[in-house]
Amino acid sequence: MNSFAERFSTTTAASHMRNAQKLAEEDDEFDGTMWGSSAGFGSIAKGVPSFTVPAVADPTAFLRLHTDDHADPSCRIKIQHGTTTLAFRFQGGVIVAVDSRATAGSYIASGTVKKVIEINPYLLGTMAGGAADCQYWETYLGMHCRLHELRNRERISVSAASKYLSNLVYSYKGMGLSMGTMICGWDKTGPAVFYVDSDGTRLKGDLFSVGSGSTFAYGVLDQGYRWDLTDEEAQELGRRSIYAAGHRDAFSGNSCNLYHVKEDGWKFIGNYDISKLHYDGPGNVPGSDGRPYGYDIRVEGLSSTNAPEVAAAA
Amino acid sequence: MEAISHAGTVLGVLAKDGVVLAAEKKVTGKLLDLSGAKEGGYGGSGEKIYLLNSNVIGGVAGLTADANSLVNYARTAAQQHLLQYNEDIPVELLAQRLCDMKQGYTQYGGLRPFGVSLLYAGYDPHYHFQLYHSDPSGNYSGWKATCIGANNGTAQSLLKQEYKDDIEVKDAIGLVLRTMSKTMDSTTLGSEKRESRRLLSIPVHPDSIRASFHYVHRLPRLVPIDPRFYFYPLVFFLMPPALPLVHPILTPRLLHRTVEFAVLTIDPVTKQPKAKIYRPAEIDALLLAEGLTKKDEDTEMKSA
Amino acid sequence: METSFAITGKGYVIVAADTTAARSIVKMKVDEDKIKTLSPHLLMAYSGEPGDTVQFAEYVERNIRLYQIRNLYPLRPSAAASWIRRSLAESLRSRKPYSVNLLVGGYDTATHTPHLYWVDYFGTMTEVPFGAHGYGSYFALSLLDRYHNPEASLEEGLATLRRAIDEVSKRLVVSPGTYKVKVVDKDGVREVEL
Repeated sequence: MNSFAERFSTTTAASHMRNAQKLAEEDDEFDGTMWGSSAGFGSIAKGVPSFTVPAVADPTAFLRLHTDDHADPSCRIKIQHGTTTLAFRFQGGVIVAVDSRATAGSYIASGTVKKVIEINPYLLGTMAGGAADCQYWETYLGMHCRLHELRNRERISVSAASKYLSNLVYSYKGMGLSMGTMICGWDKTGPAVFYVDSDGTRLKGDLFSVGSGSTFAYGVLDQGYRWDLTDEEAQELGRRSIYAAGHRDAFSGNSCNLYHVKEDGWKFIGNYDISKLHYDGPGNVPGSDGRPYGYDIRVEGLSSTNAPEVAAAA
Repeated sequence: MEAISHAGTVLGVLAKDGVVLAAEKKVTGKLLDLSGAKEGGYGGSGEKIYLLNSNVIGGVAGLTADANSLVNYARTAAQQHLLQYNEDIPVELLAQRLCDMKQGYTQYGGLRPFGVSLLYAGYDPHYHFQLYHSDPSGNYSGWKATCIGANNGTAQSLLKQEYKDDIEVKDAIGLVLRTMSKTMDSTTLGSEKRESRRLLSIPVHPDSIRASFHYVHRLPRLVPIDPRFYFYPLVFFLMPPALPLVHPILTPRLLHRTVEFAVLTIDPVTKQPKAKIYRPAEIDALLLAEGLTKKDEDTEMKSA
Repeated sequence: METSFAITGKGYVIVAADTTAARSIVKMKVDEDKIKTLSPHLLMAYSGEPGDTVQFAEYVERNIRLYQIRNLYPLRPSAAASWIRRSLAESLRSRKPYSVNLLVGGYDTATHTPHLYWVDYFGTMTEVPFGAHGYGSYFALSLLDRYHNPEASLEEGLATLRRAIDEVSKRLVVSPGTYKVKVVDKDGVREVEL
């Protein structure tokens, strides 16, 4: 009876195997690489689609660890929570600097992520929180910014663009979106930075930092920030702040991407390896004295010992 | 429009300390049972004058069934405003609500407009006492004194002659009743008199009348509250009839069947608007006091 | 933590709200204006869930403006507050309620009386001589019970507000640094420096 039921049921493991086998027999268009043992199905399941999973004992439990129950308990996947991004406005435009690490819990998923989204030649968006959410909605925002241009024969203001995004994400509030972004650009009013997050918060300001490493970045950024920074000083400040966060925050790091927005649009300044910044400094770039950023290196040879200067007398 | 020009007259006069409304109703016949009206909840017999909200009285002219529907709508709109804003609906806003609906029926095919004109006598803290008129097309306007229904042209010109800008309620009551008595087209009149009435009811386009009369500018006015006003029924005895009557005198018993009357004032104690719709007996007393009627049945068909 | 106060006095209402926009432990902004001017004689301080606050305040702002455009006169404070309360109460039973707490202060030009309404996100509304939201209220309310005077002049009212703010700064662990203070009276709305 049992075997009879199994033969005709469509849900048992045996039936899955049977279907896989059937599929394999019917379809012989697979190339050679498909042959062989994969995903635990053995050689019988030559054509079953599969994807790689984390190399741990229980991938489901592993993934569960990295879900975001705060925004929406039913949302199962949440990656790329650790990040450092910053943007600030100054006399010479807007500096946007970000790190490049993507994490899923304690797992570094990538070290070469582009966290600055180039919405159009005058608008940049930064990415913190859900990578896909940011990427998708900011690209979508770019589409509407272009439509605005076509309809109104002028570029959208940073304020309007950020409000569009803020209203958009607000309409999805509570449904699991996770974004913390800065919309940066130059419009008729000059340089502008707006902070927009998936709570629906939208703030206009001079200086923002978002992500798990933001506190570390603020520490350096706030102290070094002035409105009348030169372009070179400002770029150096952005780079150094991201370095600080990349160094201290486990979820940020790898490298720093630096952008500068001016009246004629944004310009990519460069990509800087955080470890190199630590040990060797940014190299020969404007605004830097070329010295390494790392504390140990910076203070090498310095000592706090305060012994009375008796040796000289003796 | 046609129905309205034949409908019972409704008169409204705006005074500085209140608004007065009077209406003539066509008595259908002696057999009509009006006992329910006599014991009515808020005083009206419920044919021409209605309490739309605690601060607005409405007077209707036109198709009765349509009017009932509109009155119901107005009361609902007033309650909705109360629910949403926790305040009495401003008078103009109530007029707007009805006009928005009335206009709708002129716009869409297949539906017949409401054959009703209304007068709204009301009070709100924004513009104090107000008097509005609305017609079946959904037009509305503010007035110091106006009239709808049969013979409105006659009434309008009489009102225009006698209206004074700083009129008080006690004088407005007299003005309203005198004008009413001169324009009434009552079925209780003899056939002879009805002929003469016909001469007066030549149709006049309402718009032309309205344009010729005072339009109330919607500016806030300060209205001193006269505490005496609470005692108006007593004051009436002191007021002599001002005009010679050119109208047959009706018996009180019939008059209260033909006239409805209401006054909106401010209650001197609560400082809130107070609507008083007169009961039949009160109307008789009022008419008697105004000298517009006599107790003696023998004088019934005699002109003064 | 977010804190807002309001007190009435002889012919005026003072509304004060902190100016910090925080996310987690970080102050994202320190000069945010959380008091909206809804009409020539009406103010509203708002606090609560980020996102909801501004969205709801702008929704109210637009509707009150619409009423003024349609009717030529603005809503009176009591009517405006009742409308706002009803909006929140209806929102509470919707799929996604607004979590916003409010202090609505206005001057009724028809009766020459200042009015202050305390409204929470459940749709509770009560007219009060003074009110507060947030952790600051635990310190300010008792203080105002002791020192509030309904006939205080504007200077005295501002001094009382100063007391409340100072007390909160002194005792509350995470006290806001700066406040924006606005006054509404017969002349309309204006911002004042403490």
